[in-house]
Amino acid sequence: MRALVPARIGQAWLLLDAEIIREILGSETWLPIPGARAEMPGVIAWRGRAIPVVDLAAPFGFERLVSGETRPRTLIAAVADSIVAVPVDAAREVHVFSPAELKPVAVTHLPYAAAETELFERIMAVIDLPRFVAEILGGASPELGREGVGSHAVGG
Amino acid sequence: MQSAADPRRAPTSLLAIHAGEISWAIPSAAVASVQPLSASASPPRLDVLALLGLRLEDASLTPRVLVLRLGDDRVAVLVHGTLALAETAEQDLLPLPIELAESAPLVSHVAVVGGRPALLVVSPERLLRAALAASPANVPPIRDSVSR
Repeated sequence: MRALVPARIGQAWLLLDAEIIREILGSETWLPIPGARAEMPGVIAWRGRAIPVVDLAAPFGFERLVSGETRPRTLIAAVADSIVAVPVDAAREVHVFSPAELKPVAVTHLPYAAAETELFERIMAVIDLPRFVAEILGGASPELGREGVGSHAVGG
Repeated sequence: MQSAADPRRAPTSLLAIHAGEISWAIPSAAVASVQPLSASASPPRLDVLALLGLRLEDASLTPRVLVLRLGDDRVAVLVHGTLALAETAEQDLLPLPIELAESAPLVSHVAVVGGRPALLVVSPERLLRAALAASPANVPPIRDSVSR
């Protein structure tokens, strides 16, 4: 059996392994880091440490986090040697799926989708967050652009 | 939940520079002086925002010359924005995660203000090295001839 957390970014619902989710917080203020890539644009403060923000909207082609913007929920995930924060628009309680319920990807076309299943009358992709983060850190995922915190004009 | 501050730990004084949407800081112990740009005989060519990989979009932000002092070395850099001193408890200075170290090599910490990450804390040592590396001929270190 596999426990998965449903989460929504924009209009897309996806599923993440509950095993790696350490905590689900509300909206968290994040600080953009200059030069950071879109997939990992900044940090939040969590339990006395700064942890990277991972923006799943970036690889999915959804509206990315911009400076000053937050999402209503923040998933804290343990991924390999890292703890990361994943801001999402909504998160629901853990659902448990049997192996038979998890099918090969056929309908959803999200990057890093490892499987699909049905929940809430929708087909949802199970996202391999560890692989995504590993590729960010290894520099393998496509460069979607550096976080453009410098390109703004505001009153002094 | 964070543990209570150890009263024996002295807070760190930071010089914060607010440049529009970007706020960054440097330990004030590394700052020898802050001068108006107009008072500088030879204005520095190195802008900290540029060294951070950022562009200054708002030309109305007040420019100043920040002279950094590290041991016998001094280097002058250009900063823009409003300046303020901030006292930060040790537990509010969070090291930049290693995952982002390469993205922002001059940033060593993030300062938490009001429970939220608010300031990029630039390492004076790294800034000095970057300033010297960027323009060693134009901005030579000024070695103190008189020890304090």
